[in-house]
Amino acid sequence: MNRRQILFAALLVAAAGAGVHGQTRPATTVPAPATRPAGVSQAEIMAQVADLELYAPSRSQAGTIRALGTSPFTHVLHNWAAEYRRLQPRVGFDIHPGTSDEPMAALTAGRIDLAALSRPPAPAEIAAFKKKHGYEPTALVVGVGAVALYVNHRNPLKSISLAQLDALYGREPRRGGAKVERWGDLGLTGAWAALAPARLGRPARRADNDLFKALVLGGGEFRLDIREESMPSSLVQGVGANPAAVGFASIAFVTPAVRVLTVEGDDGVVHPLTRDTCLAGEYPLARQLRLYVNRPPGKPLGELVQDFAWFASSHYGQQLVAEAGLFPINRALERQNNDKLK
Amino acid sequence: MNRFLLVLACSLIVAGSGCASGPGESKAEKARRLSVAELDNAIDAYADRYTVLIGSAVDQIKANNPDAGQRRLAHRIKLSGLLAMNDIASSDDPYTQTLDLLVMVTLQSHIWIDELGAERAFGDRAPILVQALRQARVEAWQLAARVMTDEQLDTVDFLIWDWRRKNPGIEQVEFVKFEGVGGTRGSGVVTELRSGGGFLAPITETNAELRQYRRLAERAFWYGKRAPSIAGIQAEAAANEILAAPEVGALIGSINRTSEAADRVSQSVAAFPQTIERERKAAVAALDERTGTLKDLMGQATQLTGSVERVTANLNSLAKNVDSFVEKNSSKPGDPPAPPGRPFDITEYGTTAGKVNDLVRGLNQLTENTDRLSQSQGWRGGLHELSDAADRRVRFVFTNIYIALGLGFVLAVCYRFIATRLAARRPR
Repeated sequence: MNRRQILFAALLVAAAGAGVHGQTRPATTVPAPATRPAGVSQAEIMAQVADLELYAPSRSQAGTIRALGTSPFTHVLHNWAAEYRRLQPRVGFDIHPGTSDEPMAALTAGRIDLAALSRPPAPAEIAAFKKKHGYEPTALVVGVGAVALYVNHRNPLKSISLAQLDALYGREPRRGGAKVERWGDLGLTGAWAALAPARLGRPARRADNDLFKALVLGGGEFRLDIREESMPSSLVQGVGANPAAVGFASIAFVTPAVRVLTVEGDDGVVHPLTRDTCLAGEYPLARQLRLYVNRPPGKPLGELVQDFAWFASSHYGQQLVAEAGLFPINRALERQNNDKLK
Repeated sequence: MNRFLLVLACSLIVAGSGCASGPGESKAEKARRLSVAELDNAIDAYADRYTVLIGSAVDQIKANNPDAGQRRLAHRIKLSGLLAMNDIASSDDPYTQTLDLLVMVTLQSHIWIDELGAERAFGDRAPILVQALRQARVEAWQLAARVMTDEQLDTVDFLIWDWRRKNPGIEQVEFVKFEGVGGTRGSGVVTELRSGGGFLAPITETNAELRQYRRLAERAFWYGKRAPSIAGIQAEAAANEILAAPEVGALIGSINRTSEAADRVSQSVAAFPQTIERERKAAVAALDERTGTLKDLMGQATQLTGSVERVTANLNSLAKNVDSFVEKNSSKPGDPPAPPGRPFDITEYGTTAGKVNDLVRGLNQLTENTDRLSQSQGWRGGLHELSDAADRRVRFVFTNIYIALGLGFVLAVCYRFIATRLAARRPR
C-alpha cells in the first residue's frame, strides 16, 4: 500500500466518522434559476401600478369583513386583508375559499360582504340575486387574470386557435375541428408529430375549468382521458415535467419549465397573453377579477367595505395583485371603481 | 423497562387506532376520516416510498456517470431528502407532520422541476430525477388529500408557492417547515385542522399523550432499522464533501504531483545502467562508423596518391626507355657518322628485349593505374563535376542562342511593321 492509498483510506475513515456522528445536513446547491418562479420582476410590477392612486384613509375603521372567493383570487383577498389590517388594526376578516358557484350564492344569501369571482357570474346567479334583493349586485374590477395554455418548454408549438383547443380537449368538438390525437395534428413535425398529447385539466367547479368550458368548448364536455389536477401549481409542474403534456390554468403559476401559447381568437388574430391584451379584452381567455357587493341603488355602501374596496383598487392593493402573479388594473378601471363606490 | 415500553407501545397502538370522530358527521365524512394511527402508518409508508423513489433516481444518475460534480450533487439530494423525511416521519404532531411533508416535497420539486434545476445540473440525466420528484409530489398530495379539504390544500399550495416567490434564493429547502412558510394564514390552517376542520379524526388531550408514548417506541424501531443505511449514505456524502473541498483537492493534487515526481526520479535512477550502456554502445557504434568512413577515405586517398605516383613513375620510366630506344635505333642526317658499330652482341639484344619488356610492363601498369584512378570516387567526383559544368555551359550557350534567335525574330517583325507603316505614310 503506498502513501496515496493510505491517505485516501484515512480520509474515508474520517469522513465516515464525521458523517455518523455529525448528522450533517448537506447543502444541495442548485444552479441559479434563469428567472424568478413567478416570471415578473419587482420593477415591472411597480411600473404597472405607477399611475394608480395611493390609499390615504381619513379615519379609522372597525368591524369584520366577510368574504368568499375562488382560487387564486382568495389568496389575493388574504394578502389584501393582511396588509389592510396593518393600516386598520381594528378590522377583522373572515375569508373562506370556495368553488366557483359558492361566492355569489353566499352574497345573495347575505352571509358575506364580498364575493370574489374570477369568472363572470352566470345569468342565473344574477337573476337569483335580483329576485331576492330587487336589484343587481355591484361589480368592482380589482384585477385581471387569464387562463393560460401551457406546454413544456421544449415543445416547439407557438400558437393555438380556439378551434384547435376545442379539438384537443372536447369530447365532441363543436368548432368544426377534427379530434387531435397527435401533436402532428397541430402542425408539429419530426419526432413530435407521432407523440400523443398528455392532457391536463382542472376539476369541475373551478374557475379555470368553468371559463375554459364556456369559452373554448362552447359548453361541451371534456374528453374522458384528461388528467385532472386539483392544484394549479401541480398542473403547471405536470406540464413542465412531461415534454408531451399540455394544460390550462391561471397565468399566476407560470414557471421556467413551461411556455405559454399565444391564442388565435375567433377574429383570426393571434393574441399573446400580456397585461395589455387582457385589459383590452383581446386575449380570448382573459378574465376580470371582480368583487361583488350588495349595494342598494341610491344608498351608500357600508363604510368599512367601501374603504376596503378603495384600498383594493389603490396603488398598494394592486401591487399585491401583481405579486400574486395576476395583472393589476389600469387608471381607467380604478376611476370606474371609485365612481361606483361614491 | 424495555419490555414494559414495548407492551405499552403495543397497547397504545391498539388504543390509538380507535380515535373518536366528531358529532353530527355524515356517513361519507365518517368513512373518509382517517385515524391518527392510520395517518402515522401512511406517513411512515410514504417516507419509505420517498426514500426508494429518490434513492433509485439518484443511483441511476450516479451509475456510470463520469462527472464527479453530478455524482456528488445527486448524492446530496438523496441524503438531504432522506434526513428531512426522517425528521418529519419521527415528529409527534400529525398535523405538522402532514404539512411539513407537503412543504418539503413541494419545494424540492419546485426547485428541481419548475425552476429547471435538474436540467441545469444533470443535463440528459435530468428526466430521471424529474420523474421521481414529480411522483413524490403527486403521492404526497394524495396522502394529504386524505386528511385535508380541497380548500385547505389549495391554501397550503398557494402558501408554499408564495413563500418560494418571496424567497427565490434559498436552495436548501428540504428543511423548511410549514411553520416558516405559512405565517399567520398557515397558523389558521393548522388551527382549523386541529379543531377537526379536515378529515383527520380530532385528537383529544388524552389520546395525544398516549400517542406520544407510542410514537416514542415506534421511532426507536424506525431509527434502529434505518440507521445503518443512513450512516452509510452520510459517510459517502461526507467523503464526497471532504474530497471536493479545495484544500483537500490541493493537498491530493500536491501528493499526486510529488508522487509522480518521485516515480519519475525512481524510474530514472533505475534506468541509469541501461541508459549508460545504451549511450556507450551508441557512442562506440557512431565512432566505429565514423572511423570506418575515415579509414575508407584515407584508404581511397592513399590509393589515389599511390596510383598517381606510380603512374608518374611509370611515365618517367617509359619516357626514359623510349628515349633510350629511339636514340639507339635512329640517326639524323648531318649527324656525324656514327662510330663504327660494335659487333652484334647478344647481351645487348637481351638487354634491349628486357627494356622493351619493362616498357610493356610499364604500359600495362599505367593502364591498370589509370583504371584505378578512373574508378576512384575522387576521380569520378571530379569527372562528374566537370561533366555537370560542361552541361551547364552547353545549356547556357544554347539558351542564349534561343534568346538571341527570338530577339532577332521580334526585331525583324518590328522592322517589317515599321517599314510598312513608313511606306504607307510616304506621299505617292
